[in-house]
Amino acid sequence: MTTTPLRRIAMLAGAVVRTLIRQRLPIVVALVALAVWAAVQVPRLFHFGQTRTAFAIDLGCAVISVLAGGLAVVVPAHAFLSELDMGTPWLLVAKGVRRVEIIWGHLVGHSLIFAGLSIVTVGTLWLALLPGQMENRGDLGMEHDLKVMAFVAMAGAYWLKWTVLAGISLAVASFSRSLIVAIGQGLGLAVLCHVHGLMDVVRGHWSGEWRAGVLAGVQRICPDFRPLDFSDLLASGAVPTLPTVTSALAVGLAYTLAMGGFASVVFACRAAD
Amino acid sequence: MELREVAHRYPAGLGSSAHPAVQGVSFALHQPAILGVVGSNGSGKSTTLKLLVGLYRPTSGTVRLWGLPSGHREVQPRIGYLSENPRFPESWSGREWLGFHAQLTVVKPDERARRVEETLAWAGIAAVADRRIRTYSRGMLQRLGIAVACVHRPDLLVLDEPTSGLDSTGVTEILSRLRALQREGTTVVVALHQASEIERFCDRVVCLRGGRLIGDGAPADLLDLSRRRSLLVERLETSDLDSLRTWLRQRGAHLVSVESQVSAFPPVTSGDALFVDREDRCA
Repeated sequence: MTTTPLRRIAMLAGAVVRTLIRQRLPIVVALVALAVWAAVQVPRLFHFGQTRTAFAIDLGCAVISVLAGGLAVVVPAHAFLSELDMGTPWLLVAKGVRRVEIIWGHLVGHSLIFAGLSIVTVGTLWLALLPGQMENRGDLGMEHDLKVMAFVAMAGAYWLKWTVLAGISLAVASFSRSLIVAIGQGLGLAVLCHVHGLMDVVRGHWSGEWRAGVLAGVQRICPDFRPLDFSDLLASGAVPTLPTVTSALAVGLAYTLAMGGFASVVFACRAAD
Repeated sequence: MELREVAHRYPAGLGSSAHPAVQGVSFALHQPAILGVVGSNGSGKSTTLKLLVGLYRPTSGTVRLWGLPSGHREVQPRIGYLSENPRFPESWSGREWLGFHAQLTVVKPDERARRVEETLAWAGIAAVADRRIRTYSRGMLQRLGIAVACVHRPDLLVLDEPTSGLDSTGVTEILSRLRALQREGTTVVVALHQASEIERFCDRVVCLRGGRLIGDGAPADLLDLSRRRSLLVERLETSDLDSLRTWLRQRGAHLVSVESQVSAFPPVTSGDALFVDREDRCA
């Protein structure tokens, strides 16, 4: 093997991106963006009054979270299991490419795709909200510039969140032999990652019971996505502060490294087909 | 290459017990040669090849290549592998897929481009190299798989049924090209089914049955061709085959293998070749 591991990971990531683009993933991304745009139009059509911008942001973020979050679980699992089905990873392993490089190649490739997904979806949300903001404020002043930064921060948070979800999805796909099982488990874990707040409340009600212990264990295992959620902040008209953004970045990168490492270990233990 | 008392068991799954695929297999090869691994379906050929290329770890015993255990980081880049029924991303072209593998294993970009062109021509798919893989026939996929296995000029080429899906001309072409690679110093380990291909192509044959080694030697010795007769039959139907089996049994012989694609043989009269033996031989 004459190339370096990092270069091989970059090549594998490039191959993942190329394959996904040729499998017409951009059309699916465009459909998600269309759904975001349509969601923002609902408060306008039904005249929800002065709070409509906040409501539209909430609705748009919900559509992005559900649809794009779903894609972040389904796409990596499908891509990885398709490759396993074709035997491509085993061909690469036989040539000396390490399994950890294959996993990280996939993770980086999907992360690049999700960077595009977050730019398109959050950009669509911004563009769909823009006329409403102009109506409300009359001009585009300093507050508007700060909002742009807030949207950029939110796009970054979504990107990190989806990259972590891709890591979870790859970890599940690494030991799974069925696409349906992999997607089901991935979506289940994605839901658990999003309900830490709810789990805290439920755990309080079960205080002292064995169920509270189980829930605490689940919370420890599943990534906590609350530091990566900027939608409430954005809907309230506030702007994320530097410590908030830094903390989100640190949490996102730490979870990405953890999930990528976990997926690598799981794939290293898998017997070749 | 040295396999010593190698065994491999597929692990037990839900509702199934552990399945021994290969047991106590030992053989060694110290000079570049063409080694045929033969045996009927389920005899452990593919498992043995996967043990060789390091995709499986032996449950017991050792597999060593150039003095190192198979799967070792320094060993793997020297291996080219073709799996049974190779499949590739359908949205890529043959040239792109080969280029990707060359990029992973060959460092210089100028050398890479030349190597890809050479390998495409070598495998006989240069004319279709820019077509999407989804448009490829079974034979073209097989040729692409062989090209991918060879693009980095490995020292050990492990091919699982490389002639599957190829027409008779293609079989002759690919086998003669693999022979040329062997003459240049590459060791070729190949799983084959057709007795005629084994006889013509292999320098040495290891024969497996039920995961155990039952023969190791020159093809002529192992296949016992002196005691084997070939019959040429025109327009052989399945019902004819059954009648033929009965006819042979009445004369104390039995059918060993049926080979179609008569054009691979020198024109004798017409029909398909049947290898017949008085004893149950590995072929």
